Amino acid sequence: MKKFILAILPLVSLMSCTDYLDIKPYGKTIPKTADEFSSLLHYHLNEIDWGEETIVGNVITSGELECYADNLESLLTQYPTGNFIPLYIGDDLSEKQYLYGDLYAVIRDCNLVMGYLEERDSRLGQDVLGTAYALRGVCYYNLLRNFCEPWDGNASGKLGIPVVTEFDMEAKPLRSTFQEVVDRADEDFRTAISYDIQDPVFRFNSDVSKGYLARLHFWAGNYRQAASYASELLQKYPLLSGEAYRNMMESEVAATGNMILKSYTIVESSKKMSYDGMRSYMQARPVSAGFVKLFSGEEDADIRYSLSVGKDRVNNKYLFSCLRSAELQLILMESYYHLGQEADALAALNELRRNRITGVADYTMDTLPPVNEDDNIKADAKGNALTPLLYAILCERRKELYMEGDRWYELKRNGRPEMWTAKQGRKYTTYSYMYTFPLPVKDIELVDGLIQNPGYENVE
Amino acid sequence: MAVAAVFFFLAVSCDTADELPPLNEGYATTVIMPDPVDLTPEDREYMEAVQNEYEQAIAND
Repeated sequence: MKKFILAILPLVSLMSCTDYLDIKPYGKTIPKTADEFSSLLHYHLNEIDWGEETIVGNVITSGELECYADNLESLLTQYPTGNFIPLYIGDDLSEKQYLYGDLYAVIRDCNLVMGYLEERDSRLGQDVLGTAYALRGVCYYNLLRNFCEPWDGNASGKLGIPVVTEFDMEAKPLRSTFQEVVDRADEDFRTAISYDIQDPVFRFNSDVSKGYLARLHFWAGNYRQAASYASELLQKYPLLSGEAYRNMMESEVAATGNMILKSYTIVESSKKMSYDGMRSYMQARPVSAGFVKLFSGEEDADIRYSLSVGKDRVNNKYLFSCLRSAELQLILMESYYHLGQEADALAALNELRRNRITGVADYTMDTLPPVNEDDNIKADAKGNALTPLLYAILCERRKELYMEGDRWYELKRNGRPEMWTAKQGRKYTTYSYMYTFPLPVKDIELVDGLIQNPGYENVE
Repeated sequence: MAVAAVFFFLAVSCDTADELPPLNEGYATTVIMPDPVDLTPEDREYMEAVQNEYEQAIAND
């Protein structure tokens, strides 16, 4: 009998805990009230105020993007300080896998809110839900720009990234199409707008979502929608000029002027130290001749020149991650161009220039400067040769959004040109495929059927 | 008999052990970039032109 009991005891103890390996702690960690879900989102929202790298970006991300592009001249980098900034995109490509994971971590939290929040009718509940949709839309937009090949006149057949709309830790989704990602983000932003977020503490109000809709559709080549959203917001946030513009651009931290959304609005000592460090390291890389020549003959009249270029041709501008009216004006003019409304595009271009360049004469179709054949961008988003009007628009965009991390995506959107730089006698090339970052190598190995982007076959 | 029963139940009681996600150790995590190449004389000429342009520009500042 004693032996029998000894045999039964381990049996009972071993078989009584069949769920001990269950990795889903059901009902234990998922928030319940709108307040708790709000806290979940505020973890991300607060990070934006201090400057974070995933959703809106920060000083470091904008600085790194500028280092990958051609506004600064990497061939003139001075060492050893220059060792603290990337030489070219190849230095950072492997690390971009973490950005992918970080974006899906935000999407996971948004999906938790959408799937489990019960208090949907209260004002707080609606603000929380609206913010979750807006944040998820921003994440899909970021994933699209960074991890998918750019729209080139045709979205069909282009790979997107996995679209995940429910919280399921065991799901292993495969890549959607480019168009499905655009549709998902579009619907998320429009749903966010329908919740009409009221409390400013949630930051992603309807205007922010409309701004991102303009960005999303511009990136996806849906120029009619892009122009419509940009035009609507410009009525509410008109362009600034003169001192009002200078004050906005010289305000490192506060979101002033017509900035609709800005990261890094609260100074925190350790982050400020790293941001100041980034700006200081970038002084080791002078502004490129190609960028400076955009101001040729207008250095004194164009307010952006002294804001951008300092003594010894080093950068003079704060690094921003923001959404502001000038970007919408640039989206508007280029969208008009691609829609065949050249007179409207020219008028929008001249309007921006009048707000930046004292005493400037409007361009006419006959006085537009010729295309500079030395520019890295040689074709437009559809692969067509540049015209003087489109080239003038691209140049204006480059001047306006300098040091805001825009030029890298402009190069990607317009032909993904190959560029090279050098260090210690060796030549490093930014190949076309590098504009599209690698999906995490681990995901490719763990998820059957998940397709890696071209160019990343060699891993270790 | 009892000892045999213990070993039997020990063996069958962990039938859900594979619920754990696969271990990550041993998986590749890094994408390998193409090796840099030596600069050609034309490349060095271009670099020199860039340097000269810069020095002239800041001298005239």
